[in-house]
Amino acid sequence: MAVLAIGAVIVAAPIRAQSVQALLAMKARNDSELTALEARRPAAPAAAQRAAEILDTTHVGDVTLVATDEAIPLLRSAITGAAVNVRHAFSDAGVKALARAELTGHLNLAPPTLLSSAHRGVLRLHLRVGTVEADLPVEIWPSDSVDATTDIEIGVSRAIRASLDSTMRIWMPVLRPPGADSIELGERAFRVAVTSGSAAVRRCLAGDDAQCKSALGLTPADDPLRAWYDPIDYPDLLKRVSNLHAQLETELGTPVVRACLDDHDIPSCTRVVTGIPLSALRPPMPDDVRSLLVLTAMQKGGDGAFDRLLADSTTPPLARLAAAARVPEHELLSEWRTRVMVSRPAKALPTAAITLVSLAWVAGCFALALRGTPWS
Amino acid sequence: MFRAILWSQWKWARGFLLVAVLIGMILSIFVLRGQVSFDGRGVYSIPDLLDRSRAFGVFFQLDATAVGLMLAIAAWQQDSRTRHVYALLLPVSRAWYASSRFAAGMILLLIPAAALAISTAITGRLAPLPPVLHVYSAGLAARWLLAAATVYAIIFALVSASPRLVKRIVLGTVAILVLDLLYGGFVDTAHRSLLGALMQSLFSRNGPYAPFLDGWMLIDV
Repeated sequence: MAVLAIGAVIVAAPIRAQSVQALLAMKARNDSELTALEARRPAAPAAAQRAAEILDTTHVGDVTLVATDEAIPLLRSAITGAAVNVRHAFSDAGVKALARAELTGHLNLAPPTLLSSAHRGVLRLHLRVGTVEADLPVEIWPSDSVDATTDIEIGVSRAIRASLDSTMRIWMPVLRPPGADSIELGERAFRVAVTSGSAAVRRCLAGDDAQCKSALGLTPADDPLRAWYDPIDYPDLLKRVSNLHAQLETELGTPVVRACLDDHDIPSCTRVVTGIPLSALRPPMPDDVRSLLVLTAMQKGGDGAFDRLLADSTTPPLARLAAAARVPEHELLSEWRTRVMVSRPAKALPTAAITLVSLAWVAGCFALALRGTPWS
Repeated sequence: MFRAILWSQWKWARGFLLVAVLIGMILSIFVLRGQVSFDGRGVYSIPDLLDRSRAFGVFFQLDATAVGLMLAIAAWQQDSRTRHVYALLLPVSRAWYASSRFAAGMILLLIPAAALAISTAITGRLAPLPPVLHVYSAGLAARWLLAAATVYAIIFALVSASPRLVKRIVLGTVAILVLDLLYGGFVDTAHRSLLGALMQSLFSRNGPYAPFLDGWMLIDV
């Protein structure tokens, strides 16, 4: 056994020496392959990453568009739609804002391991108009259409608002240009106006310009409660400020508050609503209604309307809006009022289109039923 | 002959129609009552009422779907049980028979629609709504009727066809959709699925879902 063992060691020695050499050679080979692999490794994801980051710069109308090849046609249509609405709503101010607008689309694809089979990812859109920047909601990729029109419109209108002085900015909300959803904007304005539960709004819609100015917050109200509401409106007003009920009950007692809420007892209501802090009373015609007034002025004024709006920052907002529209204040208010009133939602009965489509389906199914043979 | 068919369908569906009428009434009470009682007491606000009206539109839509579906099934249930032999015994054509069944179902649909219009009108008068809000009884009932009629017609056509044919169509459609989904999942993930396109067309303004589009609001400005 010992002889055999010694023999095995003697015989194995050159073999071991040979294997060490082979292993060293193999190691050297592996090292060089690993080095090559290391050198190649970042290349694969980079290729994939590059595919996602190839950006082309082009111009769609006045807007600079930076995006991948694939995204450009879809973004082009989104920008075109938005540009039409922005120009229509803001006239030359819209044109100027669009000229400063730059939309960048970054297509982030799925991880490289899935890249061969999946080209799914997300398209991140970034809009810059002058100093105003906004990340638009991400779009799933691939897609048949990019639904960024409204977001682009809002981004541009935000930029337009940013270029206003502080007086106008405080009064004016972020504008939504009336495009495809102009009917919706009008309807929202109508709903807000007629459901405000304010006497000032009712009188305004009936044609009282002074009340319109007050309800829109265009003139300061020393006593907002009496300026905007009649005693008959107090129960509704109290119901609207439900966050203050506990505080008012503590201050005035629960029976008084309940008498106003439940029994609409006007003396009790008067006591309660006078306890509402003035800061809790906002002009009863807020954002959407004001948006409609600004857009009315812009559209009526046409070219140069926005410049005229910015011309004199010392005058009150309504005078500036009237100057922008190139009409007297009462005429602008009258036009705006008409626009609010004609925006009443006409949704009571189904539209003719819906009725026809439904009847067509009924008729088609009826025809199919006549041809049906349940025995076959 | 038509009167006999109408009578038979009424007999099969009257229990369900009564339930449908009651559901319509209960829904209208729930919308209009909300947080405020009929004597005007309680806390409510106009935006809340509008939101409530919009939210309850879904229940009216479900009600219309259920009524259309049940009426269509009721129209053919007895015939299906007897393997449509009854129709063969009658001295009228199959088309005339099917037309009569269809028309009878449509007439019966008018009952819950009319009940809905009446109940919403009555509850609307009783509810202490602010003057700027209106109850659109006729409008809601018209939408309800259109939607229920569309559902009824589709299900009626399906049930009146040969079960074998319906089975083939359903299985064929499912097979195509599954194959399409597999293709999209494993071969070309950029492929737009047929199921998505189908759903999009079904729920478009030209699809059978058209009467369900737009908010169904019993109370609105």
